[in-house]
Amino acid sequence: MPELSPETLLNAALGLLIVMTLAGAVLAVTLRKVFHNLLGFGLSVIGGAGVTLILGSEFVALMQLLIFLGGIAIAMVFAVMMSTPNEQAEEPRSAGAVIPAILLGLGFTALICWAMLDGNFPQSSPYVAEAWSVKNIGLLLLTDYELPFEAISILLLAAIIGSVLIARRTREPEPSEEADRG
Amino acid sequence: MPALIAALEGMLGTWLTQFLLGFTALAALITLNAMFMVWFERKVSAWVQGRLGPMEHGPQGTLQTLLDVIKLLGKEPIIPAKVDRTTFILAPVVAFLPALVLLSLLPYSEDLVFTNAESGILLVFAFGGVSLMGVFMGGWSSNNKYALLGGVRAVSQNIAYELPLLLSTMAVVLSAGTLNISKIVQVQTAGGFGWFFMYQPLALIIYIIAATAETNRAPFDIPEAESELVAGFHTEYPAMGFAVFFLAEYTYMFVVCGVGAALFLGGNHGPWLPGPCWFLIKVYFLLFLMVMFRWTFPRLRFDQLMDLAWKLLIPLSLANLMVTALVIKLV
Repeated sequence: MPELSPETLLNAALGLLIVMTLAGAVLAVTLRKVFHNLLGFGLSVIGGAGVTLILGSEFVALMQLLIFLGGIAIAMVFAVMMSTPNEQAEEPRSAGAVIPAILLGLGFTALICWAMLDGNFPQSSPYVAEAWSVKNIGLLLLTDYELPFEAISILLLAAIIGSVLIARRTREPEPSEEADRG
Repeated sequence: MPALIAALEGMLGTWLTQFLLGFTALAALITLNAMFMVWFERKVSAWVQGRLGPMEHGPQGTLQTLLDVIKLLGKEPIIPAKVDRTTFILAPVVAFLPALVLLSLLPYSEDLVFTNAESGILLVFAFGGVSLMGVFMGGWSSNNKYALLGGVRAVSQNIAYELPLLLSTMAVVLSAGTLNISKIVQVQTAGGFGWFFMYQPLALIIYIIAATAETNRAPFDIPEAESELVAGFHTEYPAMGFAVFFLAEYTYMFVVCGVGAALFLGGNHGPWLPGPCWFLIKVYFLLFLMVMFRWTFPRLRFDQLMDLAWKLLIPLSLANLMVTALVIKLV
């Protein structure tokens, strides 16, 4: 039996993860219940993070897991609050909504593919964690890409302040509630 | 044993043999830890309440958990008629699977490291999020209002406490200058530096509180508060489904305590005894603290729980992080 090298196994894992990402994406758009769609999206995100990990960008993969999975969990809570109850059968999707969605999706995919094939990306060697390590990303963010970094920070700050303001306005106690507390 | 390993290497190659051995060791650790913790928890709770706890099987009732496992294995796995079948069956699996990854990240000693990941700490918290999805899947698919409420509570609680947990470890990361858990341990063991709990006592306290909340342990066990929600997210799970959720919970307790021991208590560092022994002693000391919390503090109400995280722990850990950064810059 030929020795299984780590590279062979990594390549096999990469293939498996790509299949997982695509399967998750298909589940995310075809299933009828919002909760199932979100689970499919979660599968897709985990697969994507795995691919990024194998391609040598540990930090990006982990951030993807940390941020997206937390986000999906919150989205699930909202989905439960807003969707129809479990026992109620879902209506079939209407063609008027499905066809534009498919066209839009295909158009976006074409756009991304065109940009990626056209663009000139620097090649990083696969399976090496050093190239995109936390240190390098941090240095790049604070030197070459400082303006976008600061712009994103301001955007986030504005979003936080906005959400605090909204939360404040709706949380003013009713007079009766005040009396209850007294 | 060495002969067996040599035979395996001949058949499968060095790399695969190492992988299989590591896998088996970690699977054994998960089972043994859960069995020990169930017994330990019952014993500590008995001592706290002036009882004896399990005494019947084996000395001091040590075989009790083994028999419990056999009982759980023999039970009929009931799947209620109106549950969302696929999600219901998958939920315990999703909650449990990341446990294996997480255990492989802990530094058991200088030589015994299964995965030496460069951003190990982040990896631990990232995979914690996967198991949270398993918990919520279980809560939603059960088609039971108590289970659903438990799941929703688990999500809001985990999101809230993940922040102070991460921020408190970041103070240590900043001091050590690396995200690699093994390297953080090395920084502490290198000549006369001392363990990080001396430099970061506040971070340690925040870490322990947030870790207790992240693992849904009392006094933060509102996702499964038995006096309000029957049993919370696992209400509808009998037999092995229930057991797998608990296996996951005890493994996560081991993992957060393992990270705590590595970050704050010097990991495998200690006199006389070999490294893995010291590591386990420190982990089980932290686990003992967590068990004691459960039997000494009353459960927090939901709004108190949220207040504690958002209004106290997060500002405190942010302030701690800033002071740490300032001190490192000045010194």
